[in-house]
Amino acid sequence: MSVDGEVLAELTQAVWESFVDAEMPLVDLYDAPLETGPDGVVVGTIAIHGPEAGRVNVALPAQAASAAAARMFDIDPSAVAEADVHDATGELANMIGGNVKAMLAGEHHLGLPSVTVAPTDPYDAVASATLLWGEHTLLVTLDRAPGGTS
Amino acid sequence: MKVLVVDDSRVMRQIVVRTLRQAGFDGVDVVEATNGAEGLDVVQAERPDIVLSDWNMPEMTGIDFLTSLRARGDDTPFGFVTSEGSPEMRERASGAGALFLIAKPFNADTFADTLSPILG
Repeated sequence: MSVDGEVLAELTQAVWESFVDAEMPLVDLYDAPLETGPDGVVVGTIAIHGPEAGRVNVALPAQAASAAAARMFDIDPSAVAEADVHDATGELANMIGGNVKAMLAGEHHLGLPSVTVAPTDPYDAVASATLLWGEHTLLVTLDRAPGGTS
Repeated sequence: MKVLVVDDSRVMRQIVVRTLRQAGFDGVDVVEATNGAEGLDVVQAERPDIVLSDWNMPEMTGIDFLTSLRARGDDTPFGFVTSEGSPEMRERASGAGALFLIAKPFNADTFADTLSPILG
C-alpha cells in the first residue's frame, strides 16, 4: 500500500480539525505507544475490500472517545451516552478509511464501521500513527487483511 | 427551502445540519433519513428541494438511492456528502445524476460554495 504512517497522521489531523477540535490540533508522535487509560480502549474499525484489502482502526482511550463524541455532537461531556461514543468513533474510522481508500490503486469498496471496547486482533500492520490530543493519545493503524484479498 | 440529510451516522447528520447553518443557510427546513431506503420514503412524503446523502450506508447505499429516485422519474436535486471522494466515485456520482460530491472532511465554505446556486 502507498499509505504510510505520515499519511495516516495527516488524514486524521484533517478530520480531527474539521469535526472534533479546531483549537487543539493533533500532534504526531510517530511510533509512540498508545496510552490506554483506566477505562480501556474504544476502537473504530472499517474494512477496505479489494486488491489491497485491509482495515483502518482508530483506537483511543475511553475517556478521550467520550470527549471527542461530546465535541462532535456539540453537547456537554456529561450527556454523552455509550451509543454516542460508538457512533462518533465509527464515523471517525469511516472518514479516515474513506480517505485511505481513495489513495489506493484499483477498485476498492468500504465496509460499514464497527466499534469495540477492546483492541481488535491485529492483522499485519502496514502503517500506524500515534497522535497526541491534549493529555490523550490516539493510535491509527492500517492493517492488511490475511491473504490480501477481499 | 427544505433539505433532506441522509446518513446512517447520527453525529454526521448533526454535523451536516450544523455546517448548513454555519454556511449561512439558517432558514432551511431539515428532514432526515438513516439510509437510502428510508430516504426514498422521505422524498416522497416531504418533497425536499435537495437531498444531501452519504454514500456508504446499510439497507440501501447512496448511489442505489439516487438510481432508484431517477428510475421512478424523480428529479429532486441530489448531492453526495461522503468520505469517498476519489475521481472514480465522483465520476460514478455524476453519471448517476448527482450535482456534486462533497468529500469529508468538509467545512462551511465548501457548503456555501457548493450549495449557494441551489439554496440561494
